[in-house]
Amino acid sequence: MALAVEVEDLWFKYQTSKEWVLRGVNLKVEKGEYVGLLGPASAGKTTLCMTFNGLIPHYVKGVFRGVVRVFGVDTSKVDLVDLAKDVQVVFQEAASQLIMSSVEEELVYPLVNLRGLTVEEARAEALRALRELGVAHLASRNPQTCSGGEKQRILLALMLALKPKLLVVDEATSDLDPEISEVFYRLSKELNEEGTTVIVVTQDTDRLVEVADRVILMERGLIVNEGDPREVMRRAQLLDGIVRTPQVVEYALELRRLGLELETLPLTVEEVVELVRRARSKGREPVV
Amino acid sequence: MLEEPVVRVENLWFRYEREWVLRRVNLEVYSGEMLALIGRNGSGKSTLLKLIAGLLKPVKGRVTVAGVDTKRFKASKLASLASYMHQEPTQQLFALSVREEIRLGLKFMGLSEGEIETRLSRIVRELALEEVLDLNPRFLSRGDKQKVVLASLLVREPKVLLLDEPTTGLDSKTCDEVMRVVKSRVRRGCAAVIATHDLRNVAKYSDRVAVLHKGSVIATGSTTEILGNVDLMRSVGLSPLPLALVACKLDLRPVLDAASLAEATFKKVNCREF
Repeated sequence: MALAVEVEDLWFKYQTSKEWVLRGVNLKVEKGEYVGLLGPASAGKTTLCMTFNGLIPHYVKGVFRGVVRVFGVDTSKVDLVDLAKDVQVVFQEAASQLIMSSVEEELVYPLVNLRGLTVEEARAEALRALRELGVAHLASRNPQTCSGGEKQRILLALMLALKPKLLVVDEATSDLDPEISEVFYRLSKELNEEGTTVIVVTQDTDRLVEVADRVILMERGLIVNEGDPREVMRRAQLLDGIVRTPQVVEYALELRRLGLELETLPLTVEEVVELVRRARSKGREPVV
Repeated sequence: MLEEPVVRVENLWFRYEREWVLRRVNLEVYSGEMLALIGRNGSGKSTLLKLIAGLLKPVKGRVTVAGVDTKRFKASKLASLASYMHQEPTQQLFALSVREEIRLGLKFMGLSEGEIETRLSRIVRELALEEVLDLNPRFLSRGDKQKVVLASLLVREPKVLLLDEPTTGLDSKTCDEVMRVVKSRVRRGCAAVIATHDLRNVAKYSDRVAVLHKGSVIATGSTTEILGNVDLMRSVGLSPLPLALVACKLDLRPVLDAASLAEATFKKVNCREF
């Protein structure tokens, strides 16, 4: 299977940092995967994301060792603008990523320049995306006058409309209403099903495990655990403090501790309800 | 509860421009309780907190904090009664070092140098800020910034803490650290009002919840009563917690912690009620 991202023994420290922020990261993400990147503050998640679109080492300086390839291209050897056609990264600080004088332009220009749409097509596409994230009414506003949550929605609308080959979302759902955050996960999953590789950094494990194919845990500049969400969540119990265990997983592990046999570790409400209904407690014969 | 509420909001109306942002809000908060304000973006949570802090004044109605009408005093006078934490911590950081940031509020209170130093060292220990004490607070991580702002509020020993999204963007460890410190103050008699959309945090720490919807408080009750009410949560556009949904689907009494819900489930499975 072709790789979307390939990171080989990556080390990085900022000009201002004393210690390495990334300490030998190795990572492979296949095309079409939906990956969740989890970990505590200062684990190096954002720094890693900044290497995917070339911000590191092109723009943010520091000591950079190792190789990052995105769709086979070494990001340290390619022009940032060329990378932007395939790779889009949204960071937590939405404000600094909005630069145009109206929300609509914020979407229309990239859609014309990066996706090659006509201005008319771009307008229609921009409005559709803004509507899906509930911010169509802001189309003619200056983005700088919008609230933090609104700015995040505008950026997410842009990313989803751009349909990049690789979409990286770094904690960009933290200021959103739970309902809109659900919309984001649904839309990003749809985009993923159409072929976009998605990497999401979040603290919201409850939602993430429902959509992710794979979960990666980072701590102190290293990948400390990765795998199928069920597998990782089972172990997450042992890695207390790194991530918030999803409520459904907490509940399922408690049921097991009490002796209730569940065939698999459930990740969604539907799954756990179904398993409980089918379950029989250990050590007791079913009533005939 | 028989005692007098420390915060009393009576028939409060507020608007910034033409449209009402808060309509006929009534709310009481008691010493020793943590009350969560929940509701969608734009439901009026932040505005209500600012009104209790006296940063905004009612257009109609009344807000009193410890018996003091907020209309009568400047927010700076009220700050030692009710301390407010802005959603964006950078908005509240002024000094060039964490140490000075925390001392600033104490100086305004006119405390003696000895008292200032005692309070400073106590809060630094409580929030584990030793290592950042001489750094510029504006260059700290988000979690540390939140902790510094919280420290500068707590040292003043207010009667009421008003926190706007205090845990947004924090990892689970820092989030618990912050909430545990707030909770310990609440146990010692402080009242806390927290506007948040982190419902897992609410379930874990809050005693009571008020639901704001389009500028009105449409429900108040115990945390379990409110968060366990799946229909209510949906009707105001909030996603119910996974455990509340599980309880609802399995027809169990709503419980918001995994261990207790598992026990209730286990009993029911053993009685073969499914």
